[in-house]
Amino acid sequence: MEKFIELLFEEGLSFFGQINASISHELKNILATVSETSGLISDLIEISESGKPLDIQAIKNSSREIADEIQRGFITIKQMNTFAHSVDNSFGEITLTDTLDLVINLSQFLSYASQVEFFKQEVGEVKVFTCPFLLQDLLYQVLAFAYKLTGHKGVVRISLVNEEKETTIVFENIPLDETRPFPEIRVQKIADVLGISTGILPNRTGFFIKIPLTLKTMYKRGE
Amino acid sequence: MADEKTIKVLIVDDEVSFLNAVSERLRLKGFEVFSADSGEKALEAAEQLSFDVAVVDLHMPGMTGQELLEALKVKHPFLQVLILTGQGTVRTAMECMRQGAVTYLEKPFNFDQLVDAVGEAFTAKLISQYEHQASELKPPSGKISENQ
Repeated sequence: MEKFIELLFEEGLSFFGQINASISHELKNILATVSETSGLISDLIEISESGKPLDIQAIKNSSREIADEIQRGFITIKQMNTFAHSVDNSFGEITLTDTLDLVINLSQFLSYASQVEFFKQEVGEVKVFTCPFLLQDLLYQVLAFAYKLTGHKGVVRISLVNEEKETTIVFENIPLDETRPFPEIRVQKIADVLGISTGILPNRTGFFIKIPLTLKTMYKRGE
Repeated sequence: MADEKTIKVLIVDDEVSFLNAVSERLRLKGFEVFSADSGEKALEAAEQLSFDVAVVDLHMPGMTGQELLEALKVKHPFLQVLILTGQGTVRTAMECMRQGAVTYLEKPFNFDQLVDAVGEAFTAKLISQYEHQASELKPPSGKISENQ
């Protein structure tokens, strides 16, 4: 338990800051676009007041852009809210596909993010009893690592394999680099506390993490 | 203040809607504008066309704004680069200024600030070109009277 609390302070706060920074960056971009696009509408109207015909199509396009950006803002704020509530309980039952969806969306704000194909239909709803916040941290760091290897033009493929007492998340289509071994220290630290094991795929096309469906036993042992 | 109508601006940002809106607004102000949605495309454009000022977003996939700044300053030393940042990366923006960027603006900014900054950057370009030309014309120190 001591290790867990230590990790929450050490890594958790840094992860919280990391996510806050990337969300605020996204919101700044949205506001900047809304600000410039509405400014463009004002400029066009001002020009028309001096006798030039009003460019109706440009006005229509600009107002559509603003509506799209506002929608993007709503989605970002919804993700921020879901993430903020992930610290409500230190331990709890989560739906793994929902957590992965959220982390994939949050990680897409990274400038170097690759595209992601997430094959989740086959597995259905996987419930995991864990520390939701630290699991999100681990998944985020794993994705960020995968993006760095794959590059922003690449596609990371994610799939789940259900077993009796654990679920494996497979990250494929990643060009492994011997100079950057998986997992990184931060991921290993969280994995140790959450009872997660990690490894490289046998065909070396990526890596996997095995998540136990419950942490109860280990929590009781006080590890 | 320099004649704004002659200023050629390269604007680089991966946020396409933002890029289009700012480019159009600068055009309406009389600037000649070329827009690029990546650092790689911006470098290509700078090879083909001659720009006075580049407005570069810091946070881009692929070639970052900082990498683009470095490449542009090597190949086009008189080009004045103005950095845009949406992150709380003021430290990175300051680093960019040490690498030769003329100034930086934090998003979202006031458009008039951008127009002023582009105008000032253009003036800075004229001054640095003038200084460079003057230094090339300068005779080797102390020798001119003896030779004459």
